[in-house]
Amino acid sequence: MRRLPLRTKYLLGDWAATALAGACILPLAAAALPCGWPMAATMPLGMALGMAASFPFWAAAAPALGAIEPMIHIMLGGMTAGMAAPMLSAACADPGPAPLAATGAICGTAASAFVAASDWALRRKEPDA
Amino acid sequence: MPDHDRRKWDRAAPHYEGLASKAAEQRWGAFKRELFSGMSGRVLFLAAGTGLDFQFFPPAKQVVAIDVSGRMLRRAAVRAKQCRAKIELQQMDVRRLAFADQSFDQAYTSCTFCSVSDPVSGLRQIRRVLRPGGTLSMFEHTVSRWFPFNALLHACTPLASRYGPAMNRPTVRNVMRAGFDIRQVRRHFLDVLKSIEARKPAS
Repeated sequence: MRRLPLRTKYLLGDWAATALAGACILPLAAAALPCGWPMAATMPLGMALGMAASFPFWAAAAPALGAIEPMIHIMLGGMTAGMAAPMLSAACADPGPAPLAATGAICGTAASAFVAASDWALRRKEPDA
Repeated sequence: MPDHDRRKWDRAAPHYEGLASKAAEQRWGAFKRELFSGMSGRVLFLAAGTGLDFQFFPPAKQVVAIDVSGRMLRRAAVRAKQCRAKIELQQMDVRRLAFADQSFDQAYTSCTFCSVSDPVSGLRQIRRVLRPGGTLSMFEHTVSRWFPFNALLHACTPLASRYGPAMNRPTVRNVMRAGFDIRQVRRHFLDVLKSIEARKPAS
C-alpha cells in the first residue's frame, strides 16, 4: 500500500482527534448547560464551555499531532459541539448519550473540514506576499 | 533580565518537548529547513529553546544561539554537541542583547516572538545588532486576519500566554514597526503559521 503523504496523514489525525473531542464535548455540554434558559444565552455559553473543554483534548493530541494545527481544529470542533448541544436538547426531549456523541462527532468532522477547506482556500486566494 | 519570562520558560522546560513534539517538527521541518538553508556569515539564532531546531541547520555554519531560560539551554547544550553546525549558546534576553551594534549578518527566529513580552523592543534590538542590509528570517505563528480563526486565537491567548506563548501576535506588523523592510511572507497554515523574511535597510 502506498504511504500517505505527511500532510494528509496529519490532516486525518487532526480530523480524528476533532471528531473524538466533539463526541465527548457535546454530551458534556448538554448535561452541563441549564435547562429552560433561552437559546440566545445557552448557545454562547455552550460555545465557551466547548472551547474550555477542548484544551485537554488538544494537550493529549499535541505529542502525536503537533501544536498549532490540531489546536485550531480541536478548539473549533469543541466550540461547534458546545454550540450544538442546546440546539439538540431543544429539538429532542431526551436524546440518549449515543445520539449526542454521534452528533458531536459530526460537529467535529464539520469543523475539521471547515479548517482544512479554509486553509486550502486562503492559500489559493493569497499567494505569498 | 526580566524574571517573569525567564521563570515561565524555566518552568515550561521539562514539559516543552511534549508539546513542541516530534510531530510538530515533522510537520514544520521542511519549512524550517528551507528557511535555515540561507544561513551565511555571522548568524544569530534567537530563542533556541531546547535546541529542537538545530537539526535543521545546514552543516558547518557558525551560529550564536540565545535563550532567556537556563533550563532550556541546558537541554539545548546536549543537542548543540550532536549538531552538524557549530553552535555557541548564551543565556540572554532578546530585549537586552549584549552584542555590539552591527555585529551579525543574519538573525533567525523560530516561534520566538509569540513569547517575548515586548516584541517590538526585541525586534529593535535585533535591528541594532544586524549590519545594514542584514536579514531577519522568522518562522512564527501569528494572529490570523480571518474570522473565525482570529477570534479563536484571541480567545485562547489569556490561558495560553500564562503557561507558554501568546497566540495573537501581529508579528508581520511588529517587524515593520521595528524598522525592517518585509521581503517575503510565506503562509503555511491559515495565515497563522508563516515564514517571514525581512531586511534591515542599508542606510
